[in-house]
Amino acid sequence: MALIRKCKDVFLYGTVILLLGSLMPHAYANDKERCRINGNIPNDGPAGESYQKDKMTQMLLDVPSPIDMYIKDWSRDDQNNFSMCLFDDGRPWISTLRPAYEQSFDIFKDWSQALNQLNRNKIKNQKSASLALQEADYWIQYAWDARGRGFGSSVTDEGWKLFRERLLKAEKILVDTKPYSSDLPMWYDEMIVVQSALDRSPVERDKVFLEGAEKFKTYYPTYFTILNFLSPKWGGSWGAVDNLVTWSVNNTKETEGKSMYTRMYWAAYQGLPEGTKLFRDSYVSWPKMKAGFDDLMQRFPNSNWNLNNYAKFACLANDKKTFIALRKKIGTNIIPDAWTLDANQDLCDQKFNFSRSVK
Amino acid sequence: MSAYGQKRTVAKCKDIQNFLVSPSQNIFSRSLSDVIKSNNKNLMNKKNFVFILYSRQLCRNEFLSFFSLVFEAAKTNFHQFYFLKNIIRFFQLFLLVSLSFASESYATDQKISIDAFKFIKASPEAVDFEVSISNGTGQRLCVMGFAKSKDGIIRSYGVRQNIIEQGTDGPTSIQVLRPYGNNETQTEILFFEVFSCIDSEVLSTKVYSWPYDWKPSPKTVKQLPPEERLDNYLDYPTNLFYENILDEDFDRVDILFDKWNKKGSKDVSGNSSLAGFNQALGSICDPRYWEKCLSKIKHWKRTNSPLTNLAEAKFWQLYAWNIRGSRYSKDIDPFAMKIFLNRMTKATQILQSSSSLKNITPIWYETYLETMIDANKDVKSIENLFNEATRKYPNYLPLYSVMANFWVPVSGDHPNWHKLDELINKATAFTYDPDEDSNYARLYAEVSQQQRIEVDIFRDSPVLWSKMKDSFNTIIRLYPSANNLNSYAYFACKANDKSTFLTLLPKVSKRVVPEIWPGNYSVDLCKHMFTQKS
Repeated sequence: MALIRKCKDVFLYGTVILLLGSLMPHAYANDKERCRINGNIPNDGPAGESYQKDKMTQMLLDVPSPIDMYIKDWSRDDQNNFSMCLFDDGRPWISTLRPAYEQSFDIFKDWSQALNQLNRNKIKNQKSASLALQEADYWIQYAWDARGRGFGSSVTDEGWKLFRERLLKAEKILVDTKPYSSDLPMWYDEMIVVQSALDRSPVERDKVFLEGAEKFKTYYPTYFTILNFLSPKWGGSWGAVDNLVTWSVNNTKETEGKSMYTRMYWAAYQGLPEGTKLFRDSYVSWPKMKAGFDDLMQRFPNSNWNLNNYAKFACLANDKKTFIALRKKIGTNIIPDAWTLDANQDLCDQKFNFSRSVK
Repeated sequence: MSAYGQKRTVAKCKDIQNFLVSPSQNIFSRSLSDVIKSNNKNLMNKKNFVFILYSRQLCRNEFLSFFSLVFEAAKTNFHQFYFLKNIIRFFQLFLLVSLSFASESYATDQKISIDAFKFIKASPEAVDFEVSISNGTGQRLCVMGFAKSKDGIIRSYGVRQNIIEQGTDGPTSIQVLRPYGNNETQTEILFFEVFSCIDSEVLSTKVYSWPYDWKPSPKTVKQLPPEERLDNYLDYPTNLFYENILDEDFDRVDILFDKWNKKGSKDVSGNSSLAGFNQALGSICDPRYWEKCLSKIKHWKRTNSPLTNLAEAKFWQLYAWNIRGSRYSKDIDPFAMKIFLNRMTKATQILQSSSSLKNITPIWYETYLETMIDANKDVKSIENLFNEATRKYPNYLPLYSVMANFWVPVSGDHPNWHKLDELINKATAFTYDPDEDSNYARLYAEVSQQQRIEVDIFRDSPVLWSKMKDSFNTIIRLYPSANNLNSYAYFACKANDKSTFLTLLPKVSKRVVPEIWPGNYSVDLCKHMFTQKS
């Protein structure tokens, strides 16, 4: 009798354990499970980005922070291979980590409080890659806070001094923690930013980029970061940008097809200074960009964000036929953030007689 | 004063929805005013803040996804406890399935009725009702209730929304929340609104006379400085106009307008309360739904309120700017410019056809002046209109602000700093009674803050810091708000006035308003500049 009772208990406990085991987050059946997101949670464009950013910010505010566990879940499969969870538009979830750092600093009343919080976490999570990068990012953000985002002419002398001092701190952290923090692709972004702002030699910076792009081929943000510093705004040229785009497409064609061309020039457009026009001033080719968009839409058919942007670029390129076809698809599912001042949806609709105008 | 170049814009849903709020605060219980006036940093501080805040007015449509967001947020907090986390995940899935039917569109031309209400129970925080509602639309809808005072000034501090399933015909529970603050207060009117859960469009409203005395709330709240106390409704005129317009409670809009139009009252920072009307109009249209915005104004027109002419003119101004793009931009698409001018012409025509309003309110002049400047009318006509306006309404500062923007446009195109200085001196003299010399600093600060970061008024304009400082001292004496203190400290830093900055610093440090500080002059940088601490 006792044996039967014991067997019954074992059976019951076993069932509970099995049930719990099946629910454990690390026991992923496949990638789909690991990157699964509730259907009502936004997972496309800025809305998705904002959601994940808030989530990460929350984690960064916890002591001890669980951020490493999440970052690992979102960037590594069960065999620890680099494999990122993606938004519906194809961008990686982990790309929201840097904006989350920024948001986590903004929460505090002043910079010293933000640093205290970070240090508390560092004590609990020594050798945490995410927290090492957070610390580097802290000094980068703090440096820009002193400089301001305007042209050099608007920066005070004290601003320049503090800018440099703080960037040097960031550089030191990145160099010192590289053995473990460069396990995350964001290390390369941060390093490129620091080196560029400190006017380090372009050769040194390019070496960092190549290492990152080799190690994390499909982590787009690193490509966008270097693109920014190669653009005319930062003393580069459109020729250099185009060479980079060609190289990047080649580096990623196995997994990304032609879409990298589109992503890169899309990023170039976002950084354009006022008075510059992508299709007039850069070396971009609309047919190539269009082919890249078609590729993107095929790979990520659920992305309304990509669709809105595709229509916007068609408008900028003056491709009426493509614009109208896309605009019909968009209908009322307009994402205002996708449109820009020089290509706002109202203007494009009017220009190509896609009339939803108010009379 | 134009709404476009303003820093003081009403927050939009997308900004609001990302804020995290303490679990101790009620879900859906804070309105737009909270969001605008609350310091985001206070709200988001620390790990226990797990709920996502949604503004009652702008984000009604997000209701259905709310629960899953709450669960997701809770998940992040329970990261250490896999078991709990997975239980939550299980329930989340369950909830998802049950809510998945909610995201259909709806038809507005179907039958909805709100027939009667029954008081159920009350606490100092809320009153529960049962409202008889029928939803014959064939779609799931949302409903909410709120209380207001007769003059529209005191109102519930938020709403709780309920879903009315398709085919519902009977009692629905609705909870109405108390007004801001803990003190005893009265409301006289009760609103029940049925609206689309998808895009928040109000489909049916029922207004009842229901006088109610709200008992003092036992909840203890942090003592805030006077300008941050949310029960000081009158200090937030833009919010009051905005909320009442969104409620389509146009009678209350008229009452507020009349009140502030007759009396030159000021908000907590010394800005004209009446100007809040124009600012609110600048925020009522969602750029995705221009048609709906215009139809709302047309609906408003049925009340025969003369204010609707101002609202309609403002609509065309906003719609014009929507196609033209940024005020900072010089490189305008000629096609966009053509449509921009057409839309501005519509605004002009509306204002001309309602010119009798100029004898009633300075807002007519303000709007007309803006339109003439935007439509590139000749300098002479603009100056004549401005002179006529200031002869009639010499104390209404927004008129000077519009003209300041004409002499020194935010686009940076051909600034005439000497004309600006002349204007500001004239404004200061004209408004000396009752504002003393405060408008010298107020106007220069406003112009400076609208310009690009590279513009330095101490280098580019004839402004005198000594005069600006005296003027700021007057402002602080009359209106010691956080905004004014921060503004004073920023200009002291920019003017390299170490002693003034350091005198102000202790006060400012307690109440930093980051929006006041431009990128190249943060409080932190100024502190370093004058204390050399690293």
